[in-house]
Amino acid sequence: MENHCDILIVDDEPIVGQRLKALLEKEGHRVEAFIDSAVALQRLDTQHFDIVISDIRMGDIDGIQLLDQVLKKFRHIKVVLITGYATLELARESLAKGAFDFIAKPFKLNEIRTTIKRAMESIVSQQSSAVH
Amino acid sequence: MAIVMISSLYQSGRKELAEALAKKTNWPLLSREELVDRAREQGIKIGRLEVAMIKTPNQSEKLAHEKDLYLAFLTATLCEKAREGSFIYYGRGGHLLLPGVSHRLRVGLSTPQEVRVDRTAQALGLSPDKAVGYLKEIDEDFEKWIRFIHKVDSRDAKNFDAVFNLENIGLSNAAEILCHMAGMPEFQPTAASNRMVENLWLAAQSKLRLALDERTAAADLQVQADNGVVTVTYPPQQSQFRTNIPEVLAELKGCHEIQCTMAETNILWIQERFDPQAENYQQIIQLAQRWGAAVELMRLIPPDEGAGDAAGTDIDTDRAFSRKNAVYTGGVEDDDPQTIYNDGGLIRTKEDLLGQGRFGGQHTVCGGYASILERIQGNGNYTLVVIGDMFLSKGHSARTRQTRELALNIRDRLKAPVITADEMKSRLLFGKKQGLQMVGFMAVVLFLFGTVFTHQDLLFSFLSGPLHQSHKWFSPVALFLFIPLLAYLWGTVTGLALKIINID
Repeated sequence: MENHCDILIVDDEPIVGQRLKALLEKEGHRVEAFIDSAVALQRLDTQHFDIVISDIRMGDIDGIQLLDQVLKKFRHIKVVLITGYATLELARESLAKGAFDFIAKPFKLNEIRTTIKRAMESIVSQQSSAVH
Repeated sequence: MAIVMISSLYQSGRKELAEALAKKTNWPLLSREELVDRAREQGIKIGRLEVAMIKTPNQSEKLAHEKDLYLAFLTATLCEKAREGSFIYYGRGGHLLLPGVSHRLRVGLSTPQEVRVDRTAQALGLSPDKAVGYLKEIDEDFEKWIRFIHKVDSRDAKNFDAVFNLENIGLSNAAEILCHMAGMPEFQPTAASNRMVENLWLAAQSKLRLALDERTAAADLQVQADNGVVTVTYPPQQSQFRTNIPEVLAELKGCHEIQCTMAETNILWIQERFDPQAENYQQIIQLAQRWGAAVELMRLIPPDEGAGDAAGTDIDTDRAFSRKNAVYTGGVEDDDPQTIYNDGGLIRTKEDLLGQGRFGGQHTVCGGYASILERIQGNGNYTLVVIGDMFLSKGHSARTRQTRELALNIRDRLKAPVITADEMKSRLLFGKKQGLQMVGFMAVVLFLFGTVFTHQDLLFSFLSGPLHQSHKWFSPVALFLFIPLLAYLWGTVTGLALKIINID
């Protein structure tokens, strides 16, 4: 956990998943990318993930709904929302509903790298406080 | 014909009021959300601007440029709508758009907090407690947004023509009142207000064209328009864009003449590390505003620290690349090299200067005064050169000596006035210390004049009477000392008084 984690990416644009997967795998993380949020939710039931990176505007289940459902079932998961339609209101709504971070597209790879690092630190500190 | 601009806090009923008014008048509606979506399609990174209000932006974030584009896009679109006839616009900060157009009716709303909490809880599916917290944060963000984009206080009453308190009046009645107001002579277009719409449109369209065209996207340009004449001002070291500007603006409807001018009054500020929060930055800004000057930044990296890949022309080529013509990446962009190396606060300072409309260019050089001169050779049209904090790794005495040597060398070669940041305040600005000095010197001058006029007999006796006869040498010596002393005191007082009224 100290160096890498399990990350699930959901974005209906395949290129986003491809680019993020390539970057994060290079950093040593285990990554799975999905273009369908319903399929991604099913995968969460069968496989452990630490971090979910999701787009907001998607087909049947949008990013905010996905956030609700993920946090309802898996409170330990850090959800990072990304969108090309970022507004102040949407960013605040996401954070109020428990998102770990909100990133507006377009973003640099370094930004997601920094967010993942912060999410990992937060998971580690939560785990250590749970042990004590 | 009327332009109604409705602005309010989140969930305060601006959309509902706009719809009620549209129902009564049949005027078309335009929302900020609609315009923002259209702006995104043009490649303007509005999401980055919005999120910057709640997160600390990256060092490399070029928000000032994005802000300019956002405002230009909104202005151009609203001006086009205004040409077609009456319309209603609603959205965050709407009352601050189209500045100077006298026939717009600027409307604000005040809505009871409990109503807003209920509406927010319902709209977002939050508990009332969470909705209260959400509104508190979003209201603070709204305040920050208005301050960042429009540089005013969102609650300043002088920016509104009417504010409705929805605790006491219903939306339908508020809409009815707005109908009457919009018909008043004060809100009818005049020749001057229509001309203002045309000028705003032309300036905004020119800005958009220049910013979105790859030939000029990297330039830092100031654009103004008046009666079909577009004036584009570029910093001296970006003169290579001069030929591209008329090409990009060619065939722009309504543009009869394009004037490309180089910024004439320039302050060159040389320093190792820049910080927009620092005192000397505020002093430079004060001076630049007083003189109407642009500030050119030059970061000097001492040779022992090495330049790496930092030194270069510092033209922002990333801007052009990352917009419409770039390879599609789904919004996941490769890292910008600028985010990796330590830029010594150059980007943040540049962003702040751009926001203030005072940016005159930037350079990064490695070495000593020879490198500085080499870089600015040929651009030496400076009103002032300010040498800021330099040679920071050296001790105090070495730093002072080397700074002085650098100032002398630059002065000799550039033939421009050169001062250090420490001298700047005492010589060019009016602060508390200068205020005290002025009061003190003025008191001494008044005392001296008072003494002279109330002791005339004694004075004549001293100059040519009995006193002079008894002490022949004393009066010429006293006069020799008194006249320059009085001239110095009076000269300082008048010099400081002129500084107050911005005459140097």
